Order: sequence, then C-alpha cells, then structure tokens
Amino acid sequence: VAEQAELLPGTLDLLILKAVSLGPEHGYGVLLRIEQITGGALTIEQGALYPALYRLEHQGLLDTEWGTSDNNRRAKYYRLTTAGRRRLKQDTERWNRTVLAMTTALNAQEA
Amino acid sequence: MESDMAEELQAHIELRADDLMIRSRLTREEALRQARLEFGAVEKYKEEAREARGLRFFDQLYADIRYSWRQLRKYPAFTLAATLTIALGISVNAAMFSIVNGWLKPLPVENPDELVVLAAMEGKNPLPNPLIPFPEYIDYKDVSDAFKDLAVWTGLLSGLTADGQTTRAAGGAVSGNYFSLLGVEPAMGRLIAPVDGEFGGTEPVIALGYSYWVRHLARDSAVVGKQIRLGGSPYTVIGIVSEEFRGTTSLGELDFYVPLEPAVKDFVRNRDVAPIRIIGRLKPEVTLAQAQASLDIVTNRLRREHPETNGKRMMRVFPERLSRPDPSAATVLPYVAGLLLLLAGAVLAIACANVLSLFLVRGIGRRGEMAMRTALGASRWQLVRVCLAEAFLIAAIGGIAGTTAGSWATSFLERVQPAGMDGLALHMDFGMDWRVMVYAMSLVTIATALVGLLPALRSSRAGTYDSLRSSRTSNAPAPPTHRLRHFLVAAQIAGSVVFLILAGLLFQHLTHLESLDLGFARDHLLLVDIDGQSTGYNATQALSVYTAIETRLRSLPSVQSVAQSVVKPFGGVILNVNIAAEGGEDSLSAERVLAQANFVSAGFFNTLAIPAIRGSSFTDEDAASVKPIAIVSDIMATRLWPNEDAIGKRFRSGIDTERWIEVVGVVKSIKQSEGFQPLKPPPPQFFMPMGSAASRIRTFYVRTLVPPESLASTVRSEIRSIDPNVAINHVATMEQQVTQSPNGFGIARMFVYIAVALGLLALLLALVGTYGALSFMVGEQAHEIGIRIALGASGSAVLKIVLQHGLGLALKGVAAGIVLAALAGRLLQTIMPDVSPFDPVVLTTVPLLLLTMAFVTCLIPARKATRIQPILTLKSE
Repeated sequence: VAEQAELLPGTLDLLILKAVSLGPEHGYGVLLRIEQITGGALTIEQGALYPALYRLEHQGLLDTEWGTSDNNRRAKYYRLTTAGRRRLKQDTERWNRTVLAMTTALNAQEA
Repeated sequence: MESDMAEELQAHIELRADDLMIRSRLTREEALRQARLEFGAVEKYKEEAREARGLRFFDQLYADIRYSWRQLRKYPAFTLAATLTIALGISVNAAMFSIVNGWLKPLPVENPDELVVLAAMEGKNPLPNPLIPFPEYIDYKDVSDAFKDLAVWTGLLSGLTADGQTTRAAGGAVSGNYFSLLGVEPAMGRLIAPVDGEFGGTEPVIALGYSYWVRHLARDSAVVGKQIRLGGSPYTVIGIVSEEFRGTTSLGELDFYVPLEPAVKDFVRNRDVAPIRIIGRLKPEVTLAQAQASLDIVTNRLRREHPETNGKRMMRVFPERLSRPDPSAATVLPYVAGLLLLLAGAVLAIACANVLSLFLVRGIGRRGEMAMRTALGASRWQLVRVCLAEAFLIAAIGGIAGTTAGSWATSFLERVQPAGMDGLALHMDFGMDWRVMVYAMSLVTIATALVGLLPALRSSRAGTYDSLRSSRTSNAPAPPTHRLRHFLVAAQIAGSVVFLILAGLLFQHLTHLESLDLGFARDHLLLVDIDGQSTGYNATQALSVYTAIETRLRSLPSVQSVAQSVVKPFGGVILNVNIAAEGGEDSLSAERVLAQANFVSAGFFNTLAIPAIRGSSFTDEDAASVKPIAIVSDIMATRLWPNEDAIGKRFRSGIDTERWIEVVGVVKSIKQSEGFQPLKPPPPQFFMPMGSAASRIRTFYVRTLVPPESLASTVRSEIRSIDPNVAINHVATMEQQVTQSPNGFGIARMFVYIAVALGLLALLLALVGTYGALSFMVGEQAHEIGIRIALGASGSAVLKIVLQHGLGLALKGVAAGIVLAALAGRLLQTIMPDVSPFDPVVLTTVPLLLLTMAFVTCLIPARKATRIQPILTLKSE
C-alpha cells in the first residue's frame, strides 16, 4: 500500500479537471479515476467531491448529461468544456512552476 | 435542481455499493450501509453543493424569513404592536405622498414636462399674475425660438343645461390650438381644432368633459351633434374629450370647452384688461432659463412701446407642474410639499423608534437564544440576517397595511367637498400609482434598516459564555441598551412636543387671522348664490324674479334684512377694473390704479354691517337705477383724492371709460384673505347701483336673528316657490365662506388640521413608547422591587420609584422638545413671517398636556409594580 498523502488545498479542482479530461465520467467514476491516476496515494472523502463538481459546473468548466453506467445505473456524466480544457492547461502549467520553484527552494544547500 | 442533486448522490452511493459487493463480498444491505458511511454527511455536502451553485442566497433568505415568521408568531403581542406601529407610521406617509403626488403629478398629455405657464410680474408685487391682456399673447407668441407653440385659455363658470337640468359648471374658452398643443385626443366626435381658426372661431360649439358626459348624459353617444344650453344660449356638441384629460387646472375639473373668440372679442386690443391664461410648450432642447431670456427681449420692447401699461411689467415662465392652482404657488408649493412629507417622515421615525425599542427589549430576552446559536456555530452574519429578516417582515406587513390604510384615507379625502366652493366640485386625484408604490417600498426599506440593524448588531455581539451561564443579570448597572432605550423614549417625547408646538403655533396664527376685523359682520348671515343667466332669464325677468325673492325672504320670520350683490366677499370671483380720477392723468391706466368693482342693492351695507364713513348709502330708487354714482372704500378715497373730501368727486373705470361716476359715499374697506398671509390692506373697492349691472348672477345676503344654517332649507324652498327652475348654485353661511372656502381660510385651515393630526399621532406613538419602556423596566426589575417590598417598602414608595423614572424621561424629552420647537418655530417664521414662535398659551399648554399624559401613562406600569408579590419573584430565581 502506497503511503497516503494529504490533499493540498486548491488541488482537488485540478485533479477533477484532469480526471474528467481523460473521458466523460460520473461522480463515482471521477473518484475512482483519481484514485487510479494518483496510484492510490491521494484519497478524497467521497461526499466532498460533489461540492467541487458543482462549483466547477457553475464556473462553466464542466458540462453535465444524464446517462447510463456500465452496470446499467442512471448517473450524471461530467465532461470538460472548452473553458475547462483551457483552465486545465493553465492550472497544470502553474502547478508545474510552483512545484519546480518549491523543489528548488527546498533543495537549496547552505552556502 | 434539488431532486437532481439527491438523485445524483443516491446514484453515487448505489455505484459504490455495487463495487463493495464485488470487492468485499458484502450483502447488498451491508454494502449500502458501508457506502453511506464512506460518503459522509450528505446534508452538509448538499448544503455546500447548493452554495457552490450560487443558490444559497435565496435558500437562506427563504429559510430566514420562514424562521422569522415562526418567531413572530410565537410572540403575537410583540408582533401586533410592532406591525401596527409601523403601519401607522407608513400610512401617514403613504397618504401624504399620495396627496403631494396627486398635486404635482404631470398632466396626462404628451411630454408634460415641456409645458409651461406664463405669468406677469407687476412692479414690486411678488405674486405672479397668470391673467394676461390679450395683445400681449400676440406679442409673446412671436418668441418662436423658445416655444413650440403658445395656446390660450380662460376659465368660465356657467350654468350648463343638458337633459333639462341646469348645473353650475367650470369650463374653458380655448384657442384653436389648445388641444393640439397639449396632444389631447377626443373620446368621441372632434375637439376645437386649429382649423376652427386661431381663436377657435365664433360658432357656438362645445366639447364636453368625459366625466360630465358620464355624470349627466349617461355616456349617450347620440349627444354629439345635438344642442345643449350654456348660460342659457344654445351650443352644438361637437365631441367628448378623452377620459384622462380634465383640463389644464389641477384642483377643479373642466366640464366643457368652447371657442375663445367670443370671450375675448371685446379685449383684443385692450392692454388694460387681463382676461386670458397662456400655456406653452417649450422646444425639447430649450431650458426654462433660455425661454425666460427670450421672453425678456419682448418684455423690454413692450416697456418701450407701451410705457403706460407695460412700464413695470415683466413676463415670467413657470413649469406647469408647479403652477397649480396658479403660478403664485410655484415659489411656495415645493416647500409646503417638502414640509408635509418631512412632518410625515418624522412620524414614521417616531414609530420606528418605538419598534426599535421593542426589538431591543426582546433582544435582551433573546440573548440566551442568540448565544446558543453562536455556540452551535452560527456566524455573526447569520445572526444579523435573522434579526434583519424579522425587521423586514414587520416593516413589509406594516407597509402593506399602512399603504392600504393610507389609500383609504386619501380616497375619503378625495370625496370631501369643502363648503364655500360655490357649488363647484373640487376634483383631486390622490389615487395610488407606481410613484406611491415606490415611495412606500423605499419607506419599508428604511424602516427595516432603522428597526433591524441596531438590534441585529447588538444581539450578534452578545457574549456567549456570560449569557449562557445566566440569562438574567439583575444587579448589573444599566447596560448600553437601556441607555439607548431611554434615549429613544425621550426623543419620541421631544419629537411629539415639537410637532404639537408647531401645530399649536399654526392654529393660534389661524385663529388670530380669522378673528381679525374683516370689515363686515360675518355672523348671522346666510348666502345664496343664484344664476339667472343660466336659468335663461332676460334682464326684465331677472329683475322681477330677484325683486320677488328679496321681498319674500325679507318677509320670513327671524330674518332681519336682505341684500343682493353681484360679487361676494371671499368668493372666487373678483371684478378687477382700472380706475382714474377726474383731473388726473389722461389715460385710464396711467396711474395703474386697479380696483375691485361690485354692484349692490340698497340694503347691502346695512345687511353686511359695513360701517359708513362719509356720505350716504344708496336709496332703493338709486339702487334700481343706472345712475352714474358710486360708494367707494376709504382706501380708494385716499388713493384717488389724498387729503381731500371724496364726496362729489368723479372718476371713471374700465367698465365704461366714457362715463364719469360720482362718489356719493365712503365706507370701510372689505378685507380679503391670502392664505396664511395676514390681511393686507385690500385694493381700492367701489360699489355701483345694482340697476347698472350687466350680469344676471346674484348673491343674496340674509341677515338672520337665529343661527343662519337653520334657515337654509326654508330659504331654498321659498326661492323655489317663486320659480322652481331657478338655478340655486350654493347656500352657505358667511362664517363657512370665510373659514372653509379656499378663497377664505380653507386651505390654511386644512394645513393646520393636518399638522394637528400628525402632532396627536406623534403624541400617541410617544405614549405607547413610554408605556412599553416602563413596563419593560418594571418587568426586568421585578426581582429588585420584590426584594424592596419584602424588606418593607410601602406601595407608595415603589410607585414613586417607577414614576420618578418615567417622568424623568418625559421631562428630559419635553425640555429637549421645547428647545427644538423654538428652533423649528424660527424656521417656520422664515416661511410665514407673521407667526409668533413664542406663543405663551402654546408653550405652556403643550408641555403641561404632555406631562399629564405621560404621568397617566406611567401610572399603569407603576401600579403593576406595587402589586408585585415578593414571594413569587424570589422563588423564580
């Protein structure tokens, strides 16, 4: 079992956008996919996913549509909008810059 | 939305359960249970989700209002008191605003804001005169660069006979472009139009007002093309004016419109007689100042060309909306309207102060509840919102009730017809419209803020721990809330003192004005207005009927004497003519002495008890004759013949410029009122024998030995027995004519009544506030009082404590009120210079009245305090 990491504030939205960008998914599916792509290192409290999904929908980053799941249950599917795709790209770049800067800073040696 | 969300979350749980059944080999039930546990607090996430969607605001608002509603229902007494108080405050404002709005709202015509009224300013006289000589209309009409057009109209009062019935009606003689300038359309047929000629033509045609058509002709469309009689002469009805338009006068309503030309044909070149009114429409981009500038150019030219008539004259332009009933109102009306709204606003402020202190009192009771909510995690903003929602509910319900009550009151006022209107209907439109609605809604908002904000901030600041530990702190010194409530009570009392003192000052002033010597004895005098012209009498018939009436009335028991005249004092009609003394300037208007003429019977001076100064009165033979003789007022005598004896001197007048009239007597002047202004020295007056009058309109004066109103019906039936068809316009006592008619003190009196009513309302609210505050104090200190009683304090000692407290507040309020009233009185003096702000009667009566009322009010809670059972209060701890 991989070591559990804590979710940094503000990263949930980015994770959701990433997960949905891999293909339309319902809420539970998004949760599973996040678990999958983080290698199980990040877990999210299940209920907390929905406020985030609604927020992104409200911002016009996600689009929704009712459909049927693999095991024949009615579920609401989320899809990335064009604005969502743009946001994912921007936020990914920003995240990478932050990580780079943080890593550099934390690895700095005493002179 | 909401069900959508529930379904989605349910789907999540089912999907998870499906997974769990496979992965962990759980039964369906176990799997579902597990899935729910993993999901967490569904409601919490739902709430967050709603917030994320931006729905939260309405959701919360709805919840707050529902919660407040439940709270308010829990305390019905509190809710009722608060709502009624606000309703009272708002009703006064809604009513007052409806009145102001009815007075000032634009005419129902095209672009009413472009309409202006022209009026002449003469020399140093500050009052503009809307009546203008006809030639000047032609002069000013050429100022086409500022005005789209100018139109002319003049008011007419005449008997209108349709369907065999003659009623006295107000109408207008209008120029051909009058309706087209206004943009008024006919409801039926056609109106007087430019094609009829510039001055409407000479054809006897008539257009009827819509409401006259409804009232007297039952909407009979066949009336168009038929003949009806106006002042006894036949006119052909050409059309009905549209329903909304009631004439270019706001207080009355014009029932008919006839061409202008016959009314002015004798004055077309006469610059001495001013019979017409001018209404104009500004070009869209032209301002009032620009229009005035272009008028001034003409004024200067006229001064050079006609120095004898126009030497000191200028024409001013007024916005039509402020010229109601005429332009002299333009300078006063906005102030009076503002003052009335301010007074009403002050009543609402007092009402709000009352409700605010109720809220504060309850806020203390609810400290525990608020603390509990804070402890449970409610944010400060949430607490503030709950309090505001309550205040809003109360203000809104109060607002709806108040506005409804206000519109009832005004619709009642609309129907009130003051006496002394000479049988004319007063038409006012105080109906609700969107302006009143907007005003009422903004008042509700203000009231919400006034009432809700402070308690909201207060209770949200309550310390959690202290309040939870003990909901009652009895021995602590007065917290800030008490001081604020005490201040509010004192402020309310001060407010009502100011109100009552101002109302009292106005009342005293009016009483003083009314008690002044008017130059005649107004008591025991009955007036009867008869219109023989509209009845269709010719001169001979009129003379014989009037003589018969006078003889018959004189023979009645308890009648002392009877007289007749054409013009009556404090009536709406004045016969203004220019006069010049023999041997003075050549031109009649050279000295510009304007006098009021009248035609009277022999008994006139005797019946009205107008004191003679010199010479003789008319004999019966004189009065029936056409002799060129006159009795003049003392003011006229000194004006025309200073330092000389007027008897035997001669003068001529604008009535007939060729005839010299000899003075046979001098009498004291008859005064006239100018609203709240004092009775200024009246203009010169002269009286000619009735026989020379062209008019067939009469006022009969009946001096009675009994109260005059008791004879009214007898007089009516006696006159009817001489000729059942005679048009009796109006029967009233002289006292009514003076005090109630708009030409007397009627308008001033209405103003005083409004001020007194508002003052009493303010007093009532202040007393309710005092009572509430004191009751609360007794309730809160029941514990302490109980201990005192247990320790042997007598009933009177307890009474004294409570009374001292209440009366202390009242005294502070009264003292502050007197100081404020002195300032307000000074302010009043700038509008009405003759009001004395230091009236000893008012300044002693009002404080005494207030303190007495406050004392009585305080007695109720004080007596309650003496009945406190120590054992019960001590036990409740």
